[in-house]
Amino acid sequence: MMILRIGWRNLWRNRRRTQLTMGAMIFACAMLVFSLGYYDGFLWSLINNATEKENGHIFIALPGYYANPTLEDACPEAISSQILPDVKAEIKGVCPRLQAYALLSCGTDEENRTQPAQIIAVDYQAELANSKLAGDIVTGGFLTGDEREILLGQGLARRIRADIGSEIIFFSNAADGSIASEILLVKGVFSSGENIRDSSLAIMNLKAAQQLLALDGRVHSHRLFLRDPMQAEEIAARLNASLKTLEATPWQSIFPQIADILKVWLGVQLFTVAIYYAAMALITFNTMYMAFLERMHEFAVMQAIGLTRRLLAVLILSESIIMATASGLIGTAIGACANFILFYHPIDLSRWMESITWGGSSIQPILFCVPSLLSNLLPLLAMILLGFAVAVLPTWRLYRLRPVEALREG
Amino acid sequence: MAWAGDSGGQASGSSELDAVALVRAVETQYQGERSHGKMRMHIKTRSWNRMLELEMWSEGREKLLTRILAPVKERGTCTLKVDDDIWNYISRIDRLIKIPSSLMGDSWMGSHLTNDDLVKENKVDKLYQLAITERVGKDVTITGKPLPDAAVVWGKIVYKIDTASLTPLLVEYYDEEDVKVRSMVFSEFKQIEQRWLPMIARIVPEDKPGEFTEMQYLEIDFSVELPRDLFSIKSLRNR
Amino acid sequence: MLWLKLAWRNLWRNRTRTLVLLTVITGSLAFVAWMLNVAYGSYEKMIEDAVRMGSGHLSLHHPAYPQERLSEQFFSGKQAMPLLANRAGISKILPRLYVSALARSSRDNRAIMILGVDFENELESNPLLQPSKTISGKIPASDAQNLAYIGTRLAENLRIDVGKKLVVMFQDLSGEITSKLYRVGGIFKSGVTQLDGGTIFVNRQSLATALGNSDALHEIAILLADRKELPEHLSQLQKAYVGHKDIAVFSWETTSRQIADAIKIDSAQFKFMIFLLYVLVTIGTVNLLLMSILERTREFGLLRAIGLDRRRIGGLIFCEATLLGIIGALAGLVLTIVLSLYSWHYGLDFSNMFGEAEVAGMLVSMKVNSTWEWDWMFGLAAGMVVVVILAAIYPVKKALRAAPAEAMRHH
Repeated sequence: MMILRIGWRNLWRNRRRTQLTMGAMIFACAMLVFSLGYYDGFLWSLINNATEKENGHIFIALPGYYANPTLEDACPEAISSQILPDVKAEIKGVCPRLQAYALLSCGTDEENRTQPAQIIAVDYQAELANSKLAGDIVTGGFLTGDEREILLGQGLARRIRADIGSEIIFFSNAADGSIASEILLVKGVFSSGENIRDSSLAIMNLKAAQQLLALDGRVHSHRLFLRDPMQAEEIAARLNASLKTLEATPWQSIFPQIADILKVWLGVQLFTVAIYYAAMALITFNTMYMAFLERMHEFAVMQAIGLTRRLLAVLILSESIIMATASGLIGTAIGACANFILFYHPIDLSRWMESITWGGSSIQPILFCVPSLLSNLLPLLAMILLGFAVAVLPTWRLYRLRPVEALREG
Repeated sequence: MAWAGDSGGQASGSSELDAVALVRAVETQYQGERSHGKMRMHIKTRSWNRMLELEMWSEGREKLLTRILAPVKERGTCTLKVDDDIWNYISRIDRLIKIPSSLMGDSWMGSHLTNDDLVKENKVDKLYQLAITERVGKDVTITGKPLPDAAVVWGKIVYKIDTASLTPLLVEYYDEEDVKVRSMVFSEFKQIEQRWLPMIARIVPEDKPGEFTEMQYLEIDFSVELPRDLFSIKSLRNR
Repeated sequence: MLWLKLAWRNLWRNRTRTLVLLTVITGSLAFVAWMLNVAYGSYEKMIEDAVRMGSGHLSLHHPAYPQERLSEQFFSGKQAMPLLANRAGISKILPRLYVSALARSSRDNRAIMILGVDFENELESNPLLQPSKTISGKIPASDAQNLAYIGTRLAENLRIDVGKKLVVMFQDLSGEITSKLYRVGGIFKSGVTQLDGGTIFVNRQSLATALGNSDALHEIAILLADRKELPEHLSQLQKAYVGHKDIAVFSWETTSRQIADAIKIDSAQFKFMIFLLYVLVTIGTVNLLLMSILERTREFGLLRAIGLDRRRIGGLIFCEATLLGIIGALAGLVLTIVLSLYSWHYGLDFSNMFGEAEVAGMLVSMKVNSTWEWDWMFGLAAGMVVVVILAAIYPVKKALRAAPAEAMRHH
């Protein structure tokens, strides 16, 4: 204990030097924590966009449906009986979906514009509770359960020259082969971030679509939203064990590019830490070493009056570790604060750029960080390690020290 | 495949059989200068089994109007084809839409006929080189190979025709590797106004076993007078 | 001169410390400058790939075309082409037609985009029209009017192969629906879903004739010999086409917005890292200089006692710092050049880690060759020198504050 106190006091004997060195370490540590948080935010945002918005973390449908969606391959709307209670606990919510192709037409008899579109039918309450689909609305509002509502993708609305309140003719084949037709009113226009998709996508209410397409009580897929998205593969496997005719697919199988990045993510993080670490080590090492050399006389005196080399080494080590740890704690705290702030209040960069498609998902123009245990712990550990590392050479010199010579050096 | 004086086919009984005239007669059998008829369409796919009753009018090879009589839910829905354009009038919502070219590959009314079939089905003699490849008694097999620049997807079309009554028995569509992709089988031959016609035509997709579209004519009349503006968008509404 | 010699000798009086500081300066400069070369190399590649597959460095379109992409928004080739002739700096002129159509085979049909190109012209520059991307058959010859070069997924979906028929149906410019027969001449695999499943390349002339206007063009993609000359060419061309209402000039940054944005993000992140590293180096340098100068307080005190004024001593120290900075920067530059030579010539291959990624509608390969960004390299080096000199300010002030007598007693 006393060693620590002495160590601490020694640090402050040369205030300027300690302040400067600690300042550098705190800054580097904070920056490192922030960088890790930023990368995490980037990845999170990528995954979220692929999953939270629309697809969910697990996709349940008839086997082979995802690759080859056809109207007739529908499954029952009620599947909760097929899910075991322990799996249910991991599920935050479920969004049932229906998918179809239809002709959408807008305009008068003489002057109408007709476009084929993919139709997604959703349970608006489930979507509001679980997915971020409603957040894509740019004009008008989201579905409110009225039977004759439809939402159009921005590109689609432009192509058929439809606006809020426009009448849209819906024309398709129902699941029993009969003609499915309806007049729907545009309730809102959305932009999903992928322009090509938006030019042929429309969203309507599940109940209305079920009636229209002769699929009462049936849906094409269930999108599960999990409490922990990273567990998707494992939970999907558990589900597959208990589902009889349906198949559960985790998001990692649907977006392999993102799953791949995840695999190397730890590597990328360690690489970043290593770079910062190397820079810091170089800078602080010399500081410590010089400080040590400066105090050789003092160490010699201490040895002469009986302090064992071992205790002295501990002293040096403790000074170094205390400084590193203190810097690490403060730096991590600052970086973590920055991460938290940007997590709850991300900065919107959409004035300067649009979103970019990436591996099936898209990168959004926001500055967003995710605070995590790892992004806080790694830098802290690196700092402590640094503390040990920079003490090595001085300690080694210490063991070669000859008190008498050192005393003479004065 | 009756011919009538209007289509300028060979008279039966001539010893020279003209492949082109035979095929033309077959392809236009349900038309003439004008026609008006009723038919029942039975569509069976792996997912559904439907019966439709349709009323149809045609003028030459360019104009066709169909109107659904049954089932009641779809009654009044019409399809109008004029040259290469197709419009659908949907009675339930009282609206009209024009089918864009990108949907020509889609099935017509959920059957195994495509929109494109409606548009192109009458141009075989103009797009294919036809030759008689077999003769067994009065049954003749004519093979049609597409002309080099013809924009058709088939490798060849094979017709089996009864030259006595000038009716088709079978039409088979092959891809370029001689794999049969689709066939049309004809039966129940009746004589109407000096033509012989198969009353039943069944389309069978070869790669979807168990599926077919069968069209059965209930009545057909070639001497009817058709109103002037029958084949127009305006009249779609009033039907 | 004397000062320089003195400064030089002073530096080497404490070899270890000087070497460490030099290592820090050299190392961080080389790292940053080299990484910059690599990063810019990857941007170069992305941009050059994007402009060759997409719309060139500059492109001519009907003014509303980039936004709406409607078939009827075409312009006249006869009017546009002459104004492009004989311009220095333009390496390729690629006229193109884009028609959305339905592709049909005897088995199935798919919505596609037909690209009418001049095959011979594009062979040299288009990354898709390369034998390496052709997995079956051949790229059609320039006079082959009826051969199409189609994507592998489309071939699978339609169940057709090389030599088989493909019928396309589209609306011509007068609104009539027209069909055209093509045969598959070759099949390509790009790795990008949109291209492999929905794009075919055909002879432009034959497509234009089928559209009903052999002079119509939707795009003229222009490749420049040097991308740095883009702004001048852009303004020259804009002036040249001022009278033509149907023709407007666009730069790739507008037509390939996503790539431009992706590069913006990446380079912003990069510049942030540079900033960080400079801050770290500054702090480190300040620290080290401070220590070395404080160590010599006694010596400075002595010097002042024998008459050397504060300014001269300060000058000496700054000289040392400058020398340190310059040597470090030079060494850093040399190291950067060595590293960059390797990565420029041999390239860096990250494909084991990342494979190929689909970004912004393009396939980005993970093999990168660095470029030579001399202006950045020298700028960063000069910046280093400045940083080191500035870092000396505080320590110098500190060292010269004490009175000589006190200073001499210091230890």
